Amino acid sequence: MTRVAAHGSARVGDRTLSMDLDAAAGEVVGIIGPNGAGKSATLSVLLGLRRLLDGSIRIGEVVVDDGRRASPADARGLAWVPQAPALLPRRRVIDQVVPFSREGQVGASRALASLGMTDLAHVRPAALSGGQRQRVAVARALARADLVLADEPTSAQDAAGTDAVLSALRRHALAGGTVVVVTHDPTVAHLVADHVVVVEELAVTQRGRAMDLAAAPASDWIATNAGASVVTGVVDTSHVLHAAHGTLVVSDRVPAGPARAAIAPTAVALHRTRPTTSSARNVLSGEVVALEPSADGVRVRVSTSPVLVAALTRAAVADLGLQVGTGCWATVKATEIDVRSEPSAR
Amino acid sequence: MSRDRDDQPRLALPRTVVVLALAGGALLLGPLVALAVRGGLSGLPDALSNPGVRTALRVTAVTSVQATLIAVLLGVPLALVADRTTGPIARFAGLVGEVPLVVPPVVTGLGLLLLLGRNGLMGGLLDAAELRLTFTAAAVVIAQASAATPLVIVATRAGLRTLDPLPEQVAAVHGAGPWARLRLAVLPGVSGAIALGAALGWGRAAGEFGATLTFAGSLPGRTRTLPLEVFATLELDRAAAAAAALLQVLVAVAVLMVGRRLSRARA
Repeated sequence: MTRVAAHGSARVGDRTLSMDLDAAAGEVVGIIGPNGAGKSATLSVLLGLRRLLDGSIRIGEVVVDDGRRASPADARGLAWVPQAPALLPRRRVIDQVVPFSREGQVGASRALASLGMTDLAHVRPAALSGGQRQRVAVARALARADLVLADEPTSAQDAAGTDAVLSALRRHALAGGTVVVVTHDPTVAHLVADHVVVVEELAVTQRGRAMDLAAAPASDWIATNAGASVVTGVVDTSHVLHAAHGTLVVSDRVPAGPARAAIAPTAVALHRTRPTTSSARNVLSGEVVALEPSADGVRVRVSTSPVLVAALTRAAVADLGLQVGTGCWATVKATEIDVRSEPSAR
Repeated sequence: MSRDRDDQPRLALPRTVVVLALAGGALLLGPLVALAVRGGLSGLPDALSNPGVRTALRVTAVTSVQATLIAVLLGVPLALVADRTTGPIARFAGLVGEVPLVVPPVVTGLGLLLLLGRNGLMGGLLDAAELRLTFTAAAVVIAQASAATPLVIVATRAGLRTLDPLPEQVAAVHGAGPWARLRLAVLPGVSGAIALGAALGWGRAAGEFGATLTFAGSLPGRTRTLPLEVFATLELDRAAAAAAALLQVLVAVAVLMVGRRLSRARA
């Protein structure tokens, strides 16, 4: 069952936003993309704060905007977590939630509890931190409606706050709700979303499971931000990509000429000694230059030519004894490099 | 936010600016000092026990409070409408709200007389309803309200201009209708500005002179407010007038301080 379906276009300044979004009951959908790509604008059309030019917005069984008639924002039965908390002036935390709660005091208390805010119920906004205010805004939305549109709901959160917000959103979906999360942070999408829609330059460029984006990125932004290493260069007739620094053997699907390769972190394996029996066509030496925790383990950046990023579990990092400065070998199968012809060399 | 500013060291201004500021202070403060020194302060106890002054004070209190309530009741909606409207109508509404600030009160009073007076535009209508406004306390209230309303409008609009629109949008998305949005998000957000406008308007109403004299006259016990009492006493006893005038100043300062306290507390 589809709970929200948004297809069509809307005006954003003097440009046109093209929308293509579906989210079902029980689902968390992430909208990711760079700043100014049209993520928040997409939400504002769903919310009724911006009109559709053509197409349709359906919420439940009701078409709320078909480009000609649009129902007003207060008649759409939605819940919204805006980028800024936008709390009501001077009201205590519980009174921020109760006026909008479907189940009054009970629903409001439950929503606050789901974010660990029960102890702050009688505090006024001025005494809250930015992260706490944002969690009040999340609770307010969860108490309001099944369909929750959340715009960067973890932007003001520390690690614990991020966990609290994302697990509250997940539980909302688990209880039959629908959650759309806008984020510029693919890790957040990875952590919370069942499906991801990538919006760039006011249009959807890719969709799928967050973990699958890096394997076949449709754009440099996806490649870089989903964690993949991006290498540009020229492919010769023996399927070798010559980059500014180093070479890579790539698949034979790509004709000779300018090309761009994306190597997902999961496609890169690391070894302490030169592997002798690997089937990988690319065996490169280097040393560890950075170790960064990620949603699913550790991202290890190695100073091979070209530079690669490998996704390892914490256990693997420990087993290999990897630290910054450790010498190692990286292997990548040619078939696991996503390589595409570039229209023209840049 | 103001606390952050207070914590920072202030950089010096050019000396000329400081001198001009002092001159400005002297211009504003000088007359008050003169009032106090030339009979005002010593005559204050007498003024307070003078039946004419006491009556005028009572008339002023009763009429100016009513005028302020009317100014808020009408000025805030006008500011809200002007804030939501765009184009020539909005500009016209803004002008209508601010014209009385720059038009001499006697002109406003004459206008009221020609509108609501015996032979005024609406005189026939008022006669039919057996309402006579001229030279009544109601006329004083109308004259004061017409002076106070623009101040409420200007202050409220200033508050609305800096109001974050997001809480109201959130309220709308979460199902709140127009009244609920006003109650939950908009009015609490500008209550400080409204309080300041009401205080300024109240002070203005209590000091209204020109429009009141023209439209309501100066009947002791009915339409003679404190400023009219000052003017009436001036011919007879300058020191007594100074005392009554000083009383007027004290009332105005008290009203202003209450208003500023309210507006800070709400900010």
